[in-house]
Amino acid sequence: VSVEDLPFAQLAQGAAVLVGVASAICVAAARSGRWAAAAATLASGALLVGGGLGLSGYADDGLAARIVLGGGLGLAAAFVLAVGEGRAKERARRAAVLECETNRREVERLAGANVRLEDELRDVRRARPAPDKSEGETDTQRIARDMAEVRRRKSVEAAQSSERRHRAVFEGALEGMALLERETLRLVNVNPSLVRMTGYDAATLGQKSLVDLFVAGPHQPGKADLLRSAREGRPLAVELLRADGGVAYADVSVTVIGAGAEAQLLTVVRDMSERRLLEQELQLHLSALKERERRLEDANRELGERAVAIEEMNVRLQRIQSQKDQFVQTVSHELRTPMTSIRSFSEILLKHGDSDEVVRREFLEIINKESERLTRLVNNLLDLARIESGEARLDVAEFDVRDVVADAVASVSGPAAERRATVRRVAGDEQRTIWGDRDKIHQLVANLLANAVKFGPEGDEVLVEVKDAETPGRVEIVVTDHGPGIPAGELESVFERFRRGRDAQGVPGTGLGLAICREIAKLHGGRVWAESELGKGSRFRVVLPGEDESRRFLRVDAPASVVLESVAPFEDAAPSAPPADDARWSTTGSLPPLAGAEQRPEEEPAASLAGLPPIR
Amino acid sequence: MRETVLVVDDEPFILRSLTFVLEKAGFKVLQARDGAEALEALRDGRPRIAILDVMMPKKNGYEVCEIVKGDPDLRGTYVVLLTAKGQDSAKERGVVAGADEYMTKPFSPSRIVERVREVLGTPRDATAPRTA
Repeated sequence: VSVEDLPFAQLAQGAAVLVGVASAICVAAARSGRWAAAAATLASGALLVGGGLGLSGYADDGLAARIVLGGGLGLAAAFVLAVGEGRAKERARRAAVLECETNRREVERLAGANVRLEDELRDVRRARPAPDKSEGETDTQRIARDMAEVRRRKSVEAAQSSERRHRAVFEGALEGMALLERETLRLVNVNPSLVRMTGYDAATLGQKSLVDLFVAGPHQPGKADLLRSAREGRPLAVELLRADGGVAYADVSVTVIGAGAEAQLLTVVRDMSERRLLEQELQLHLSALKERERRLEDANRELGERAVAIEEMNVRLQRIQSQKDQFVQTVSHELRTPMTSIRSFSEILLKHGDSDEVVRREFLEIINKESERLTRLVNNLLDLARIESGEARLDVAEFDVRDVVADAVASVSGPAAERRATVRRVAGDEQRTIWGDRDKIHQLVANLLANAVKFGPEGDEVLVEVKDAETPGRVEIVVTDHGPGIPAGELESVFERFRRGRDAQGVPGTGLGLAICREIAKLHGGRVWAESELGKGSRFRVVLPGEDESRRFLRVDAPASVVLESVAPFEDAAPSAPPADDARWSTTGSLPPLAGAEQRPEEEPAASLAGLPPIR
Repeated sequence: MRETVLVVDDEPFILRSLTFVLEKAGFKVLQARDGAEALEALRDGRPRIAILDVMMPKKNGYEVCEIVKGDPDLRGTYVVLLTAKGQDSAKERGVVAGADEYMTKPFSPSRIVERVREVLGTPRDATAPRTA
């Protein structure tokens, strides 16, 4: 059927219907926002109208062509719109999927929360029936209120439980504890231990600051010390003044609780008294131990010193012992020699009594002489022993030395005559008065004179002088012989017991005379020594204290019983002056004992026994 | 021929008494007053017996005894030591010195004469050391 065949009215009717349908679709599409569909429909309508008009020739070709062109353009626009619309839709879909997922999770979360809320609600209901629904309150509001209540109660409960626990720790702690106001350090809250420790009740403590509890004084810690210890986390050793006035030792630590204006301090006080006591006790023991150790060391040192002293004394005693042995041997020999003579000759006389008169007389004279020698020896030994044992008593009197010397000269006239010697006395006109034992001074001078006669040459002139000593106030007696003299090395040793000079052989004597002289001089605070020139003779010099000095030395004015312990050392311009010790003799003659080392161990009896020689 | 005896002592009275009793007994007596003199007398007089004091000057009795016993010519001399010491140490010293016999002062002169007779009465070689 061609378009020209169609009735125009039919066509118009058809076109109107088509336009109407297209318009409807277009409006619908536009309303739903599907602009691509609307545009496409409009464009399709335009195309159809244009095509129809053109085909029918109802309109000219130009118009139809423009309408078709417009329809085509409309279609193209619709296509572009459709593409853009599709993309937007895809984006939207994806967004929807995402949203969906998010929603699902949210639902799950909410479901979980719901379960928890229901649990809580159940708990609350179990604890207490839910309050009645308030007037005008929705269920949701009620549930929300319940939930808030539950939460509040739970937190209160937790707080109370924590509070209870802390309170138990606080109350039950062995350490004293207190909360302090930050500024004043006032004890806001104290525990029983602190009450017990300080002896104050809680109320009194509440009025005090922590610092008030410390013993006042330069070492009392202040707030600054406490805060520093808090910062350093190191306890502070303090002394607590107890209510009863006693002192307790404690370590105090401080902790800051909270911050800002609300901050409080917690202090913990640990009682260290017992430990302190233990420490002090330990310290005491330690110092006691140290003291003991020190004493032991002292004792040890002392023992060591004593051992040394004992060793020294031992050596000295051994020396004294050997000197004593030697002395005994020497005395024994000295005694046996005359005894041997006496025994021998008396036996000979008994057996050979018929010997001629001359021989018999000779032997009897020998016996007599040797008896005298024996007696002299024994007497001298006894003299020395008495002096040395301190038994020699001085019969002190005042006398003129010149008289004594004259007597002594007379007493040696016999031996002098035997040797055809003379003794010349030079005593001057001046009186020489001294205090002393006249008999002993006589013995001293007589011994020296007898020595001089014995050792001088036959027919010698022995000189004895009495004169002023070099030291003013003292008296000197000098005995000079012209014998062979004494070697320098023997000038001192001739004064030792049994020590006889080199040329003493064959000269009768006991070997004790000079030793006795020296002891007598010492007893009087004087001394005797020898000088000699070999080949020309010897000079024995005696210096004695003068009248005043001898009176003082012998304590003539003091009670007789007084024994001199010490006297001023006697000094004189003499060779080899004796050591000061030697002057420590008493009026009773406390010379170092011969064998009594135990009586005066500090002395050197050795000096009086020194080097007893083998005689001859 | 008379036997010769040497007596040595620095004490003249002891010398005198020993000389007297020994001469009375018929011996020839040589005297010495110290060790040096004793050795001289021993070499010159060749006594068969020497009585030595121990304590004397210039060589004591022990020293003289040692020299005698160490000398081939004098070794045979019978040596008697006289000592004032009765101690054992003196005895030991005498034994070490080689003395044949020793006597302690104070001695008995007749006992000495007796011993000298005994010693000289036996053959020289057979004189064994002995103590009194």
